[in-house]
Amino acid sequence: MNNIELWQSTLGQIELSISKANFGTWFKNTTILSIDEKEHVVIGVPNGFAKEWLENKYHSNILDALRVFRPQVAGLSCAIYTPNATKRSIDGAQIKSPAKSSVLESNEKNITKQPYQQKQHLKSTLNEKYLFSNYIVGENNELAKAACHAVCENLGKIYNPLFIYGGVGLGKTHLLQAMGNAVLEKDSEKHVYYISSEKFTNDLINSIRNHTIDDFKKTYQKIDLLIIDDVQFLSGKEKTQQEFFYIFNSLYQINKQIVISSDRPPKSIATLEERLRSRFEGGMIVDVIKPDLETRVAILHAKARERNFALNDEIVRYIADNIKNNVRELEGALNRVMAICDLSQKKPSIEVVQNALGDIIASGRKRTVQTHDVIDVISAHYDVNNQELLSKGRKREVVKPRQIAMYLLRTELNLSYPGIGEHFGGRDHTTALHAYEKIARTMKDDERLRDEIEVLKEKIYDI
Amino acid sequence: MKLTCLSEKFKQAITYAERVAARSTTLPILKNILLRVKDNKLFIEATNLEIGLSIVMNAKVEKEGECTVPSKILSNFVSHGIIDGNVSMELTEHGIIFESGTDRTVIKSMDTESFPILPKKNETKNITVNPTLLKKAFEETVFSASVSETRPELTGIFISFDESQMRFAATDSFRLAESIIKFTDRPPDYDYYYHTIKSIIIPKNTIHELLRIMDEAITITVQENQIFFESNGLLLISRLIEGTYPDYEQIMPQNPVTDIKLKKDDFLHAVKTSSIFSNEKTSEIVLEIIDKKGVVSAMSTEYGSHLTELHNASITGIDQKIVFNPRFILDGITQINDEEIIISLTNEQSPILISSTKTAEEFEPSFRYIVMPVRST
Repeated sequence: MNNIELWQSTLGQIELSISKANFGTWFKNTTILSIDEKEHVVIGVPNGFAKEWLENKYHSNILDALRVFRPQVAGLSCAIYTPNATKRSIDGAQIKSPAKSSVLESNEKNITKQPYQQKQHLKSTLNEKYLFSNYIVGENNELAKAACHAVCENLGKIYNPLFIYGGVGLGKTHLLQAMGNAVLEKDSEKHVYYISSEKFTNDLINSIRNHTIDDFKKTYQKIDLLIIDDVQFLSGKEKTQQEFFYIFNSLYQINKQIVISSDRPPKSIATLEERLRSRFEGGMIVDVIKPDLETRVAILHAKARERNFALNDEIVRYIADNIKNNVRELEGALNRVMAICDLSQKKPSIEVVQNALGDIIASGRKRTVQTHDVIDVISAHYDVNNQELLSKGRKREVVKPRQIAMYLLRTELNLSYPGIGEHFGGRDHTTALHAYEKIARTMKDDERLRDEIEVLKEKIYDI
Repeated sequence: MKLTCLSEKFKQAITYAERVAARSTTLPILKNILLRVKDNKLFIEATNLEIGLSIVMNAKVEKEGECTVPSKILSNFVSHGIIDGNVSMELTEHGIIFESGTDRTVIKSMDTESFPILPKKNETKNITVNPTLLKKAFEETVFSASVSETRPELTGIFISFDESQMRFAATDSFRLAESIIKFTDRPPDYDYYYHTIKSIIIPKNTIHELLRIMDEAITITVQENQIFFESNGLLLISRLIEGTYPDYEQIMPQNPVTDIKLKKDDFLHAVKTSSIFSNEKTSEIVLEIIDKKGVVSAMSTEYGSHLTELHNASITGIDQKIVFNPRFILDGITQINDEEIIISLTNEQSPILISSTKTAEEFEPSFRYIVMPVRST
């Protein structure tokens, strides 16, 4: 039992016999500094008060507790010491030991030590169930998949970095993981590293805390394919962005492939450093959008087949018709139908499915949004006031927000054109129709407007 | 415990002790003040485990004893409830009974069993410093200490025991104040501090308390990470801050190229008025020297602008333009006890040095204050 363990055990004993407040006040940051050959124990305490207190009031408590574990202890005294200095050296010792042990573990056949460690890493981060072969391609993700394929064939040579963006549950992670798996399948010696930006940040913080930042950087420099998921979470974390920037640059310069995903394009990520933004934009940017009906049907068929579950076309069509936004929800709905059929031993029929999904579809978030929610979000977003937005005025600043508001009321709330016109100071229904068509038309070509509308929708449903 | 003592002195002692007693803590006893009657004296103690205060006062003792009393109650009672003259106390099983004039008050007391023991001073080597000088040196520096805990060593006052002077400094990394007490005769035992202790960092709260209570000659003793201040029956004990203080001499302007010598009040006026128009967020005002003429100005896009020409300043050196934060400048200038000040500039990125025209004398610490300029964009 070394001094640290001895003191931990002793503290455990003492803690039982005195009040929590006393224990916290007097025994915090204490340690055994030394035990000499005469078995005299010197306890390090952070200040003079603790010294007086431990020596005078808890002297016998401590002595008794110490003797439980080390009966030969003869006496004790206290000395003031600085916890920090000692703590640092303890930390140092702790850092070294795990590193050592992992080197020992990696003591295996033909592969050198370092890559083996890497592979260990990657096995835990890549999920083997995500493959290109089970990725359903539709019009919405054709380009993204093609780009990913091309990148896998020519690591680091074309499209570097590859930036994939799209909303939640549309298959970004699937694509990213499939790339990692494909590359490994071709050449298992390659170092593929898949990491979420959240984990990247945590690892960075840990390495800063443990003073292993150099090791951290070195690990990254050996990678052939670096995949960073959900990079938008880097937003606002300056130090992480900076480190990421260095890693990015050093990989980029030696033509290592980098693949990044996010829920929005680089320029829409707020507080992303300019230099990172421009680098993200320097390669290939592809988006994954919502699957169309046919793709959704195909996805459902594929998922059902994967699980040996028979579904007729009507049911598939019903699910695909009602759940539009997100592949994950689609899968969830299918799971639910399967579970209910399994449990109740019924054959899947359209009634069963309607019942099973009734509340999912009914509680679809669209229903809960009100007209004024949309108006409020728009006026806050464009910084115009509510009255002005709803009035007849034709100031330039309010015209576009008003048109967008009309568009959103139409698409999201399904209001009638005359109804929309009524809301905006008794306008004619043709005005509303015009607004809707204009925005819909502009959106086709104007990527910025598309982003804006997406952002607004997010805000509206956030309420 | 039964005694009689002077109301005035008791009042004062309790007021001091109340400030030191902990406000909120996991250990409720720290909110109490300890009263102990022993050897014909009354001892009053309070601590928050960072700072400890012990006050000894004379009293007419009839019976020895000790107890602790909640500090808030005691100090409120003492400041309103006892009249000048004498106050007598007696500890009974119901609490401690105060009698003063025609009043009779019982305050419930607790035993002293769990009250912390103040660290004892074993070190005999100490230095005694002229209280006016010491007070001045602390006052001139303490306001510059950092309030942020990110660098603990900057939250204290640094004292360096140099060969024939004591150097006091505090900084929050935006500005730095330094005050030096020179010795003509080194105090006895100073060698120990010069050779062995070398330097210490005292928490700024300790200094605030010390400034409040010190009046007569102060004796300083450093022992094992703690410092003891003794003065006329008062003993203030504090921990010291561990850590290495930055070697600030490195950033002291070595060769300023432009010197402005002017009346302190003129400059105060210019900076204060300009600061009204400095941007609230960035808080910037500009000092510009063009052709031996000085101008202090500030401009706000929202409220307007101000400009003061420094007419009566004598300026030597080259043209300069420096942007700085008026608050930091004002903090420093108000500490200067002189009608004239010297502002020394090097360039727009180097610190501004402000000093008094007087040189250090025996009864006057020498003061230097530097401020980092705001980087112009």
